[in-house]
Amino acid sequence: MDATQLLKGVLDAAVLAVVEDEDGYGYDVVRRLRGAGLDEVGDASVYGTLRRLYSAGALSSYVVPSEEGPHRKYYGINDHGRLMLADQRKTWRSFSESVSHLLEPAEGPR
Amino acid sequence: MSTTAHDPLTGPGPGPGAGPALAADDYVRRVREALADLPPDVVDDLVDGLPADLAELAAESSTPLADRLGPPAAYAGELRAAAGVAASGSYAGRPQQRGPSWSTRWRAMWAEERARLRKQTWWPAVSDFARTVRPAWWVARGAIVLALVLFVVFGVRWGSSGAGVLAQLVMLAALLGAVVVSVELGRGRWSRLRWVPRTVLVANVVAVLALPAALSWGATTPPDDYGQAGVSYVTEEVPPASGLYLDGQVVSNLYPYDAQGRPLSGVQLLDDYGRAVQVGEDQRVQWSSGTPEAFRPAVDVDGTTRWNAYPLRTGTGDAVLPEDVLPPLLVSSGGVAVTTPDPTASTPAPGASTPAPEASTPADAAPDAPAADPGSAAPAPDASTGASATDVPGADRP
Repeated sequence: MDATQLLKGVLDAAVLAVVEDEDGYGYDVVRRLRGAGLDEVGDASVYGTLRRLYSAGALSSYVVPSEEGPHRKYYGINDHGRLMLADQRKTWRSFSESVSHLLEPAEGPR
Repeated sequence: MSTTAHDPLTGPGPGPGAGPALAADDYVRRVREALADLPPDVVDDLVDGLPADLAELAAESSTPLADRLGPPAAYAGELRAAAGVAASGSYAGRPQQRGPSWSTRWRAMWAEERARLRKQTWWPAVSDFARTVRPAWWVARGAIVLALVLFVVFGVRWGSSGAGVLAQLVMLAALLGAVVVSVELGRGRWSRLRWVPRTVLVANVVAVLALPAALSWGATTPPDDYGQAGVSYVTEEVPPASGLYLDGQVVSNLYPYDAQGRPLSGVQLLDDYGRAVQVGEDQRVQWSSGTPEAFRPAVDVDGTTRWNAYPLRTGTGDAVLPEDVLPPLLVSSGGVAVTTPDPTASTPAPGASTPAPEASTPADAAPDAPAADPGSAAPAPDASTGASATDVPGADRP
Protein backbone atom coordinates (compact mmCIF):
# COMPACT_ATOMS: atom_id res chain seq x y z
CA MET A 1 0.00 0.00 0.00
CA ASP A 2 1.50 3.31 -1.05
CA ALA A 3 1.40 5.69 1.83
CA THR A 4 1.64 8.71 -0.45
CA GLN A 5 -1.57 7.77 -2.18
CA LEU A 6 -3.33 7.25 1.13
CA LEU A 7 -2.03 10.56 2.34
CA LYS A 8 -3.44 12.42 -0.62
CA GLY A 9 -6.91 11.38 0.42
CA VAL A 10 -6.65 12.58 3.98
CA LEU A 11 -4.34 15.56 3.67
CA ASP A 12 -7.20 18.03 3.72
CA ALA A 13 -8.55 16.67 6.95
CA ALA A 14 -5.09 16.44 8.48
CA VAL A 15 -4.24 20.02 7.61
CA LEU A 16 -7.59 21.27 8.87
CA ALA A 17 -7.12 19.40 12.11
CA VAL A 18 -3.66 20.82 12.65
CA VAL A 19 -4.83 24.36 11.97
CA GLU A 20 -7.89 23.90 14.13
CA ASP A 21 -5.66 23.00 17.04
CA GLU A 22 -3.58 26.13 16.60
CA ASP A 23 -3.11 28.75 13.93
CA GLY A 24 0.05 28.13 11.95
CA TYR A 25 2.17 29.14 9.03
CA GLY A 26 3.13 26.77 6.22
CA TYR A 27 6.28 25.26 7.57
CA ASP A 28 4.84 25.08 11.07
CA VAL A 29 1.96 22.99 9.76
CA VAL A 30 4.40 20.73 7.92
CA ARG A 31 6.38 20.27 11.10
CA ARG A 32 3.32 19.38 13.10
CA LEU A 33 2.12 16.90 10.53
CA ARG A 34 5.50 15.23 10.48
CA GLY A 35 5.58 15.28 14.25
CA ALA A 36 2.27 13.47 14.28
CA GLY A 37 3.84 10.65 12.29
CA LEU A 38 3.18 11.64 8.69
CA ASP A 39 6.83 11.65 7.68
CA GLU A 40 6.08 11.33 3.99
CA VAL A 41 4.12 14.53 3.67
CA GLY A 42 5.68 16.92 1.19
CA ASP A 43 6.17 20.60 1.87
CA ALA A 44 4.68 21.72 -1.40
CA SER A 45 1.64 19.53 -0.91
CA VAL A 46 0.94 21.10 2.43
CA TYR A 47 1.38 24.60 1.10
CA GLY A 48 -0.85 23.89 -1.82
CA THR A 49 -3.48 22.35 0.41
CA LEU A 50 -3.43 25.37 2.67
CA ARG A 51 -3.98 27.61 -0.34
CA ARG A 52 -6.76 25.48 -1.63
CA LEU A 53 -8.54 25.29 1.68
CA TYR A 54 -8.22 29.03 1.96
CA SER A 55 -9.75 29.50 -1.49
CA ALA A 56 -12.54 27.14 -0.53
CA GLY A 57 -13.28 29.38 2.43
CA ALA A 58 -12.34 26.86 5.09
CA LEU A 59 -9.40 28.83 6.43
CA SER A 60 -8.74 32.44 7.21
CA SER A 61 -5.32 33.92 6.78
CA TYR A 62 -3.37 36.87 8.02
CA VAL A 63 0.09 38.16 7.49
CA VAL A 64 2.58 38.81 10.25
CA PRO A 65 5.11 41.41 9.24
CA SER A 66 8.65 40.91 10.40
CA GLU A 67 11.42 43.46 10.72
CA GLU A 68 14.23 41.11 9.79
CA GLY A 69 12.96 39.73 6.57
CA PRO A 70 9.96 38.57 4.61
CA HIS A 71 6.57 38.36 6.22
CA ARG A 72 4.97 35.17 7.53
CA LYS A 73 1.62 33.99 6.37
CA TYR A 74 -0.58 32.45 9.04
CA TYR A 75 -3.66 30.36 8.59
CA GLY A 76 -6.49 29.87 11.03
CA ILE A 77 -9.66 27.84 10.86
CA ASN A 78 -13.08 29.41 10.61
CA ASP A 79 -16.59 28.12 11.07
CA HIS A 80 -16.87 26.77 7.56
CA GLY A 81 -13.62 24.92 8.05
CA ARG A 82 -14.85 23.49 11.31
CA LEU A 83 -17.93 22.14 9.62
CA MET A 84 -15.83 20.62 6.87
CA LEU A 85 -13.53 19.05 9.41
CA ALA A 86 -16.40 17.59 11.43
CA ASP A 87 -17.73 16.08 8.24
CA GLN A 88 -14.39 14.61 7.32
CA ARG A 89 -13.95 13.24 10.81
CA LYS A 90 -17.17 11.32 10.47
CA THR A 91 -16.24 10.05 7.03
CA TRP A 92 -12.82 8.98 8.18
CA ARG A 93 -14.12 7.21 11.24
CA SER A 94 -16.60 5.08 9.36
CA PHE A 95 -14.21 4.47 6.47
CA SER A 96 -11.28 3.49 8.64
CA GLU A 97 -13.46 1.24 10.78
CA SER A 98 -14.71 -0.58 7.72
CA VAL A 99 -11.23 -1.02 6.27
CA SER A 100 -9.76 -2.09 9.59
CA HIS A 101 -12.47 -4.62 9.97
CA LEU A 102 -11.93 -5.91 6.44
CA LEU A 103 -8.21 -6.20 6.95
CA GLU A 104 -8.46 -8.08 10.23
CA PRO A 105 -6.77 -11.46 9.85
CA ALA A 106 -9.33 -14.21 9.46
CA GLU A 107 -10.14 -15.90 12.74
CA GLY A 108 -9.73 -19.64 12.86
CA PRO A 109 -9.26 -22.06 9.99
CA ARG A 110 -11.50 -21.74 6.99
CA MET B 1 11.37 13.06 -3.22
CA SER B 2 14.74 14.71 -2.87
CA THR B 3 17.09 14.42 -5.82
CA THR B 4 20.47 15.79 -6.45
CA ALA B 5 19.72 16.84 -10.01
CA HIS B 6 19.96 20.54 -10.44
CA ASP B 7 17.31 22.49 -12.15
CA PRO B 8 18.18 22.47 -15.85
CA LEU B 9 16.47 25.79 -16.40
CA THR B 10 18.62 28.08 -14.38
CA GLY B 11 21.69 26.20 -13.27
CA PRO B 12 22.93 25.14 -9.86
CA GLY B 13 22.16 28.29 -7.91
CA PRO B 14 23.96 29.56 -4.76
CA GLY B 15 25.79 27.09 -2.56
CA PRO B 16 24.85 26.18 0.99
CA GLY B 17 27.12 28.79 2.48
CA ALA B 18 25.15 31.68 1.02
CA GLY B 19 22.91 32.40 3.97
CA PRO B 20 19.46 30.88 4.48
CA ALA B 21 17.44 33.93 3.46
CA LEU B 22 19.38 34.25 0.24
CA ALA B 23 19.02 30.57 -0.53
CA ALA B 24 15.33 30.73 0.18
CA ASP B 25 14.81 33.77 -2.01
CA ASP B 26 16.66 32.14 -4.81
CA TYR B 27 14.63 28.96 -4.55
CA VAL B 28 11.38 30.89 -4.50
CA ARG B 29 12.49 32.84 -7.51
CA ARG B 30 12.96 29.64 -9.41
CA VAL B 31 9.63 28.28 -8.27
CA ARG B 32 8.02 31.43 -9.58
CA GLU B 33 9.71 30.94 -12.87
CA ALA B 34 8.28 27.46 -13.09
CA LEU B 35 4.84 28.96 -12.53
CA ALA B 36 5.31 31.68 -15.09
CA ASP B 37 2.45 30.42 -17.19
CA LEU B 38 -0.02 31.47 -14.51
CA PRO B 39 -1.36 34.99 -14.00
CA PRO B 40 1.00 37.02 -11.78
CA ASP B 41 -1.45 37.52 -8.94
CA VAL B 42 -2.10 33.78 -8.84
CA VAL B 43 1.61 33.18 -8.59
CA ASP B 44 1.83 35.75 -5.82
CA ASP B 45 -0.95 34.00 -4.01
CA LEU B 46 0.66 30.60 -4.30
CA VAL B 47 4.05 31.78 -3.20
CA ASP B 48 2.92 34.14 -0.48
CA GLY B 49 4.85 33.64 2.74
CA LEU B 50 7.12 31.05 1.15
CA PRO B 51 10.39 32.99 1.45
CA ALA B 52 10.12 33.28 5.20
CA ASP B 53 9.24 29.63 5.66
CA LEU B 54 11.96 28.37 3.36
CA ALA B 55 14.46 30.62 5.10
CA GLU B 56 13.56 28.94 8.37
CA LEU B 57 13.89 25.55 6.72
CA ALA B 58 17.23 26.48 5.22
CA ALA B 59 18.53 27.75 8.54
CA GLU B 60 17.91 24.38 10.14
CA SER B 61 20.62 22.55 8.29
CA SER B 62 23.33 23.11 5.76
CA THR B 63 21.86 20.79 3.17
CA PRO B 64 20.89 22.87 0.18
CA LEU B 65 17.19 23.51 -0.27
CA ALA B 66 17.14 21.83 -3.62
CA ASP B 67 18.30 18.62 -1.99
CA ARG B 68 15.74 18.77 0.75
CA LEU B 69 12.77 19.96 -1.26
CA GLY B 70 13.61 18.69 -4.68
CA PRO B 71 14.11 20.82 -7.74
CA PRO B 72 12.10 24.03 -7.80
CA ALA B 73 10.20 22.93 -10.85
CA ALA B 74 9.00 19.79 -9.16
CA TYR B 75 8.11 21.81 -6.10
CA ALA B 76 6.15 24.18 -8.25
CA GLY B 77 4.31 21.31 -9.86
CA GLU B 78 3.37 19.76 -6.58
CA LEU B 79 2.36 23.14 -5.21
CA ARG B 80 0.01 24.00 -7.99
CA ALA B 81 -1.44 20.50 -8.02
CA ALA B 82 -2.19 20.56 -4.35
CA ALA B 83 -3.58 24.07 -4.65
CA GLY B 84 -6.03 22.91 -7.29
CA VAL B 85 -4.80 25.18 -10.02
CA ALA B 86 -5.93 23.82 -13.34
CA ALA B 87 -3.39 23.53 -16.12
CA SER B 88 -5.01 26.43 -17.88
CA GLY B 89 -4.31 28.62 -14.91
CA SER B 90 -7.83 29.19 -13.71
CA TYR B 91 -7.74 29.59 -10.01
CA ALA B 92 -10.54 30.59 -7.74
CA GLY B 93 -8.54 32.94 -5.60
CA ARG B 94 -9.98 34.88 -2.69
CA PRO B 95 -9.12 38.44 -1.81
CA GLN B 96 -6.83 38.38 1.11
CA GLN B 97 -7.54 40.14 4.34
CA ARG B 98 -5.29 43.13 4.43
CA GLY B 99 -4.25 44.94 7.55
CA PRO B 100 -4.37 42.71 10.57
CA SER B 101 -6.89 43.80 13.12
CA TRP B 102 -6.10 43.85 16.79
CA SER B 103 -7.37 40.33 17.33
CA THR B 104 -5.46 38.87 14.42
CA ARG B 105 -2.33 40.58 15.62
CA TRP B 106 -2.86 38.95 18.95
CA ARG B 107 -3.45 35.59 17.32
CA ALA B 108 -0.32 36.09 15.26
CA MET B 109 1.82 36.80 18.32
CA TRP B 110 0.42 33.80 20.08
CA ALA B 111 0.92 31.54 17.07
CA GLU B 112 4.49 32.79 16.62
CA GLU B 113 5.32 31.94 20.19
CA ARG B 114 3.80 28.50 19.92
CA ALA B 115 5.64 27.86 16.66
CA ARG B 116 8.89 28.87 18.26
CA LEU B 117 8.23 26.53 21.18
CA ARG B 118 7.52 23.70 18.83
CA LYS B 119 10.98 24.05 17.38
CA GLN B 120 12.59 23.17 20.67
CA THR B 121 13.76 19.63 21.11
CA TRP B 122 12.16 19.28 24.50
CA TRP B 123 8.79 20.35 23.23
CA PRO B 124 7.31 16.96 22.27
CA ALA B 125 7.89 15.46 25.71
CA VAL B 126 6.52 18.46 27.56
CA SER B 127 3.63 18.77 25.19
CA ASP B 128 2.75 15.10 25.61
CA PHE B 129 2.79 15.47 29.36
CA ALA B 130 0.64 18.56 29.23
CA ARG B 131 -1.81 16.81 26.97
CA THR B 132 -2.13 13.94 29.45
CA VAL B 133 -2.68 16.28 32.36
CA ARG B 134 -5.16 18.39 30.49
CA PRO B 135 -8.30 16.60 31.74
CA ALA B 136 -7.32 17.37 35.33
CA TRP B 137 -7.20 21.02 34.35
CA TRP B 138 -10.67 20.74 32.86
CA VAL B 139 -12.01 19.45 36.16
CA ALA B 140 -10.26 22.13 38.18
CA ARG B 141 -11.39 24.81 35.77
CA GLY B 142 -15.02 23.77 36.18
CA ALA B 143 -14.79 23.91 39.95
CA ILE B 144 -13.04 27.27 40.00
CA VAL B 145 -15.44 28.89 37.59
CA LEU B 146 -18.39 27.58 39.56
CA ALA B 147 -16.95 28.88 42.84
CA LEU B 148 -16.36 32.27 41.22
CA VAL B 149 -19.88 32.42 39.83
CA LEU B 150 -21.35 31.47 43.19
CA PHE B 151 -19.29 34.12 44.89
CA VAL B 152 -19.93 36.93 42.46
CA VAL B 153 -23.57 36.28 41.69
CA PHE B 154 -24.88 34.89 44.93
CA GLY B 155 -22.34 36.07 47.43
CA VAL B 156 -21.87 32.50 48.59
CA ARG B 157 -18.43 31.34 49.51
CA TRP B 158 -17.57 27.80 48.64
CA GLY B 159 -17.71 25.56 51.67
CA SER B 160 -19.26 28.20 53.90
CA SER B 161 -21.09 26.98 56.93
CA GLY B 162 -24.67 27.73 57.70
CA ALA B 163 -25.94 25.90 54.64
CA GLY B 164 -28.53 23.21 55.11
CA VAL B 165 -28.24 19.72 53.72
CA LEU B 166 -30.41 20.60 50.75
CA ALA B 167 -28.24 23.57 49.85
CA GLN B 168 -25.13 21.43 50.05
CA LEU B 169 -26.66 18.83 47.78
CA VAL B 170 -27.57 21.53 45.30
CA MET B 171 -24.02 22.85 45.42
CA LEU B 172 -22.64 19.38 44.87
CA ALA B 173 -24.91 18.88 41.87
CA ALA B 174 -23.86 22.25 40.49
CA LEU B 175 -20.22 21.28 40.92
CA LEU B 176 -20.73 18.04 39.01
CA GLY B 177 -22.56 19.91 36.29
CA ALA B 178 -19.82 22.51 36.00
CA VAL B 179 -17.14 19.83 35.79
CA VAL B 180 -19.02 17.94 33.10
CA VAL B 181 -19.48 21.12 31.06
CA SER B 182 -15.84 21.98 31.42
CA VAL B 183 -14.69 18.52 30.36
CA GLU B 184 -17.01 18.45 27.38
CA LEU B 185 -15.77 21.84 26.29
CA GLY B 186 -12.24 20.55 26.63
CA ARG B 187 -13.13 17.65 24.40
CA GLY B 188 -14.32 20.02 21.74
CA ARG B 189 -18.07 19.69 21.94
CA TRP B 190 -20.11 22.74 20.99
CA SER B 191 -17.04 24.29 19.38
CA ARG B 192 -19.06 24.95 16.27
CA LEU B 193 -21.00 27.69 17.91
CA ARG B 194 -19.57 31.06 17.17
CA TRP B 195 -19.21 32.33 20.66
CA VAL B 196 -17.96 29.14 22.31
CA PRO B 197 -14.21 29.26 21.61
CA ARG B 198 -13.89 32.85 22.72
CA THR B 199 -15.94 32.25 25.84
CA VAL B 200 -13.82 29.26 26.69
CA LEU B 201 -10.68 31.32 26.25
CA VAL B 202 -12.03 33.98 28.60
CA ALA B 203 -13.05 31.33 31.11
CA ASN B 204 -9.59 29.80 30.95
CA VAL B 205 -7.91 33.11 31.62
CA VAL B 206 -10.27 33.91 34.48
CA ALA B 207 -9.82 30.47 36.00
CA VAL B 208 -6.04 30.73 35.85
CA LEU B 209 -6.12 34.16 37.47
CA ALA B 210 -8.50 32.96 40.15
CA LEU B 211 -6.46 29.87 40.89
CA PRO B 212 -4.41 31.35 43.76
CA ALA B 213 -7.51 32.78 45.38
CA ALA B 214 -9.31 29.49 45.03
CA LEU B 215 -6.44 27.61 46.59
CA SER B 216 -6.38 29.94 49.59
CA TRP B 217 -10.15 29.61 50.01
CA GLY B 218 -9.79 25.89 50.34
CA ALA B 219 -7.26 26.32 53.12
CA THR B 220 -9.14 28.64 55.43
CA THR B 221 -12.58 28.62 56.96
CA PRO B 222 -14.88 31.52 56.32
CA PRO B 223 -16.12 32.96 59.59
CA ASP B 224 -19.24 31.40 61.02
CA ASP B 225 -22.38 33.46 60.95
CA TYR B 226 -22.95 34.68 64.46
CA GLY B 227 -25.50 32.55 66.22
CA GLN B 228 -25.96 30.03 63.43
CA ALA B 229 -25.00 26.44 63.86
CA GLY B 230 -23.61 25.20 60.59
CA VAL B 231 -21.53 22.46 59.12
CA SER B 232 -18.04 23.52 58.28
CA TYR B 233 -16.02 21.49 55.77
CA VAL B 234 -12.65 22.50 57.09
CA THR B 235 -10.98 22.74 60.44
CA GLU B 236 -12.41 24.86 63.20
CA GLU B 237 -11.27 28.38 63.62
CA VAL B 238 -8.56 28.88 66.17
CA PRO B 239 -9.53 31.78 68.41
CA PRO B 240 -7.41 34.82 67.84
CA ALA B 241 -4.89 35.86 70.43
CA SER B 242 -6.82 38.83 71.81
CA GLY B 243 -9.96 38.81 73.85
CA LEU B 244 -11.53 36.33 76.22
CA TYR B 245 -12.63 32.93 75.05
CA LEU B 246 -14.00 30.02 76.96
CA ASP B 247 -14.13 26.66 75.19
CA GLY B 248 -14.08 28.40 71.85
CA GLN B 249 -16.85 30.81 72.66
CA VAL B 250 -16.41 34.52 73.01
CA VAL B 251 -16.75 35.92 76.51
CA SER B 252 -18.03 39.45 76.71
CA ASN B 253 -18.73 39.82 80.37
CA LEU B 254 -17.83 38.19 83.68
CA TYR B 255 -20.05 37.97 86.74
CA PRO B 256 -18.18 37.50 89.98
CA TYR B 257 -19.92 36.06 93.03
CA ASP B 258 -18.43 35.87 96.47
CA ALA B 259 -18.09 32.78 98.60
CA GLN B 260 -21.59 33.28 99.97
CA GLY B 261 -22.96 33.25 96.47
CA ARG B 262 -23.79 36.93 96.40
CA PRO B 263 -23.06 38.91 93.26
CA LEU B 264 -20.17 41.32 93.44
CA SER B 265 -19.42 44.41 91.49
CA GLY B 266 -16.31 46.32 90.71
CA VAL B 267 -14.19 43.18 90.83
CA GLN B 268 -10.85 43.83 89.20
CA LEU B 269 -9.23 40.78 87.69
CA LEU B 270 -5.65 40.03 86.84
CA ASP B 271 -4.30 36.89 85.27
CA ASP B 272 -1.29 34.87 86.43
CA TYR B 273 1.03 37.21 84.52
CA GLY B 274 -0.45 40.24 86.20
CA ARG B 275 -2.24 41.34 83.06
CA ALA B 276 -5.68 42.85 83.25
CA VAL B 277 -8.24 40.26 82.23
CA GLN B 278 -10.07 42.17 79.57
CA VAL B 279 -12.82 41.33 77.17
CA GLY B 280 -11.68 41.69 73.58
CA GLU B 281 -12.16 45.10 72.04
CA ASP B 282 -14.68 43.86 69.49
CA GLN B 283 -16.67 42.06 72.12
CA ARG B 284 -17.51 44.86 74.53
CA VAL B 285 -21.15 44.74 73.61
CA GLN B 286 -24.06 43.31 75.55
CA TRP B 287 -26.36 41.09 73.52
CA SER B 288 -28.58 39.59 76.16
CA SER B 289 -31.21 42.31 76.08
CA GLY B 290 -31.93 41.79 72.41
CA THR B 291 -30.55 45.04 71.11
CA PRO B 292 -26.81 45.34 71.36
CA GLU B 293 -25.57 47.90 73.85
CA ALA B 294 -21.98 48.87 74.26
CA PHE B 295 -20.36 48.49 77.63
CA ARG B 296 -18.84 51.43 79.45
CA PRO B 297 -15.55 50.95 81.19
CA ALA B 298 -14.89 51.87 84.78
CA VAL B 299 -12.44 54.64 85.64
CA ASP B 300 -10.02 54.42 88.54
CA VAL B 301 -8.82 57.21 90.81
CA ASP B 302 -5.90 57.86 88.51
CA GLY B 303 -8.27 58.49 85.69
CA THR B 304 -7.26 55.35 83.87
CA THR B 305 -9.94 53.51 81.95
CA ARG B 306 -10.40 50.02 83.30
CA TRP B 307 -11.89 47.23 81.32
CA ASN B 308 -11.05 44.54 83.82
CA ALA B 309 -13.64 45.56 86.44
CA TYR B 310 -16.53 43.13 86.34
CA PRO B 311 -19.34 42.92 85.68
CA LEU B 312 -19.18 45.35 82.78
CA ARG B 313 -22.09 47.73 82.61
CA THR B 314 -23.80 49.37 79.70
CA GLY B 315 -24.49 52.64 81.43
CA THR B 316 -28.27 52.22 81.24
CA GLY B 317 -28.44 50.43 84.56
CA ASP B 318 -27.11 47.52 86.46
CA ALA B 319 -25.77 44.50 84.76
CA VAL B 320 -28.32 41.79 84.08
CA LEU B 321 -27.06 38.98 86.28
CA PRO B 322 -27.31 35.47 84.98
CA GLU B 323 -28.10 34.34 88.54
CA ASP B 324 -29.34 36.33 91.53
CA VAL B 325 -27.37 34.21 93.96
CA LEU B 326 -25.25 31.14 93.72
CA PRO B 327 -25.03 28.37 96.26
CA PRO B 328 -22.55 29.41 98.94
CA LEU B 329 -19.22 27.69 99.10
CA LEU B 330 -18.09 25.76 102.12
CA VAL B 331 -15.72 27.95 104.09
CA SER B 332 -13.19 26.57 106.55
CA SER B 333 -11.90 28.37 109.62
CA GLY B 334 -9.06 29.84 107.62
CA GLY B 335 -11.53 31.80 105.56
CA VAL B 336 -10.73 29.91 102.38
CA ALA B 337 -13.38 27.89 100.62
CA VAL B 338 -12.49 24.21 100.49
CA THR B 339 -13.79 21.31 98.52
CA THR B 340 -15.55 18.45 100.20
CA PRO B 341 -13.93 15.06 99.70
CA ASP B 342 -17.30 13.36 100.13
CA PRO B 343 -18.75 12.79 96.70
CA THR B 344 -22.31 12.29 97.93
CA ALA B 345 -22.50 15.66 99.58
CA SER B 346 -21.72 17.69 96.50
CA THR B 347 -23.46 17.62 93.18
CA PRO B 348 -21.95 19.11 90.08
CA ALA B 349 -24.33 21.71 88.73
CA PRO B 350 -25.43 21.02 85.17
CA GLY B 351 -23.44 23.19 82.88
CA ALA B 352 -20.67 23.70 85.44
CA SER B 353 -17.18 23.12 84.27
CA THR B 354 -15.95 20.20 86.42
CA PRO B 355 -17.62 17.33 88.28
CA ALA B 356 -17.01 16.99 92.01
CA PRO B 357 -14.51 14.08 92.11
CA GLU B 358 -12.28 15.82 89.66
CA ALA B 359 -12.38 18.98 91.70
CA SER B 360 -10.61 17.34 94.62
CA THR B 361 -7.45 16.80 92.63
CA PRO B 362 -4.70 18.90 94.16
CA ALA B 363 -2.59 21.37 92.20
CA ASP B 364 -5.12 21.45 89.48
CA ALA B 365 -5.61 24.86 88.01
CA ALA B 366 -9.15 24.13 86.87
CA PRO B 367 -11.65 25.99 89.02
CA ASP B 368 -14.14 23.82 90.88
CA ALA B 369 -17.78 24.38 91.64
CA PRO B 370 -18.97 22.08 94.44
CA ALA B 371 -22.50 22.66 95.67
CA ALA B 372 -23.33 22.36 99.33
CA ASP B 373 -26.78 20.88 98.89
CA PRO B 374 -27.45 18.55 96.03
CA GLY B 375 -30.98 19.80 95.66
CA SER B 376 -30.22 23.30 94.62
CA ALA B 377 -28.14 22.50 91.61
CA ALA B 378 -28.93 25.71 89.85
CA PRO B 379 -27.78 26.16 86.26
CA ALA B 380 -24.64 28.23 86.34
CA PRO B 381 -23.51 30.67 83.69
CA ASP B 382 -20.89 29.60 81.25
CA ALA B 383 -18.20 31.44 83.13
CA SER B 384 -17.15 29.52 86.21
CA THR B 385 -17.39 31.09 89.60
CA GLY B 386 -14.01 30.28 91.03
CA ALA B 387 -12.72 33.82 90.95
CA SER B 388 -11.38 35.11 94.20
CA ALA B 389 -13.10 38.23 95.38
CA THR B 390 -10.88 41.01 96.44
CA ASP B 391 -12.01 40.70 100.07
CA VAL B 392 -11.11 37.01 100.40
CA PRO B 393 -7.39 36.55 100.51
CA GLY B 394 -5.71 33.70 98.73
CA ALA B 395 -6.58 31.91 95.59
CA ASP B 396 -9.35 29.39 95.65
CA ARG B 397 -7.23 26.49 94.65
CA PRO B 398 -7.05 23.15 96.37
